[in-house]
Amino acid sequence: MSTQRIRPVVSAIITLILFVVVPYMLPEYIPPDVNQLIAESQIDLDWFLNQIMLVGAVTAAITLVKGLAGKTSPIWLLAALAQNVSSLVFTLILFGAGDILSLGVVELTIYAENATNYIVMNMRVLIYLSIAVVALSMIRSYLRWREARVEAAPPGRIPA
Amino acid sequence: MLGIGIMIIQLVSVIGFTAGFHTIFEVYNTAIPGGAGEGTQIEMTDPVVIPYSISPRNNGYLEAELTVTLSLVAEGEMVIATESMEVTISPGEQVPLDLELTIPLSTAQMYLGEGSNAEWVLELRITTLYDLVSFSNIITMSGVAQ
Repeated sequence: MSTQRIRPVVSAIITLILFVVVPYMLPEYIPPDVNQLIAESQIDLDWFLNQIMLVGAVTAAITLVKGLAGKTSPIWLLAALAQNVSSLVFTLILFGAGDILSLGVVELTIYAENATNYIVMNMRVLIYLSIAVVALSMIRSYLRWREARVEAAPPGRIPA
Repeated sequence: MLGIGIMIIQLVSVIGFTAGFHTIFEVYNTAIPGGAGEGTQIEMTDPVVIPYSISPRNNGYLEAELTVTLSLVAEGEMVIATESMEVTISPGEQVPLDLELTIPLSTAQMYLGEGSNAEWVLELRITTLYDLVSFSNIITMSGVAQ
């Protein structure tokens, strides 16, 4: 197997380990007091981790497809664009504590014996910055793909 | 060129997030009362004055704006008394913040007595990074009877 074939496989495996295996194992390593705090804050940890794992698995598959497809192929472009979108979805899940539609505004209610804590964290600016990064990355992917096609085209021919 | 732009935005995001939340939690940790409401002995004078003092310190790297609102609320939504204060705390600075709730004695006897369903509501709101990142915590404490 050539280096060009090995690299995407290794990237996909690393993505799988980081975003599927680690979140899968994580609940076992959370200290009981932190676990109780999470339960009191009404965050659905399983749902949150399942979403991370799902996006991780999809990203790993996209990484593999992108790595194995030729740089001039439309599949490479589609995979590159999908990879950018999946990174945005991951950011939305992370900064929304599992709620993608919250767009970076996390609301928690923690009930204690005689008190109720209603917490709001506004991190929407980070979501806007992530959208900017993803938009620029998509443009870059398209330009790279165009460039690869121009380089691969026979002399005197402009690729469609 | 595009790659450098992307890298700069990513760097700004990471630094902004880290510095912003570090500042917020440093201010919050010193602004949150230890065992809120406990240890405050209310004297039944006319009017009844309920003091609330904290000394939040900003050990973060960014300027923070702290808004503290203390209210006495009955029936879940009827505000009996409320007082709010907003301060800007520079990095490394400590700002004393004193609030006073003033309630007529007759009202206080009604809501601060045994069997009252009134609640203390303390709202701490911290914003930083030019108001781009914020954190607010509304603590509702039941059992105000002393």
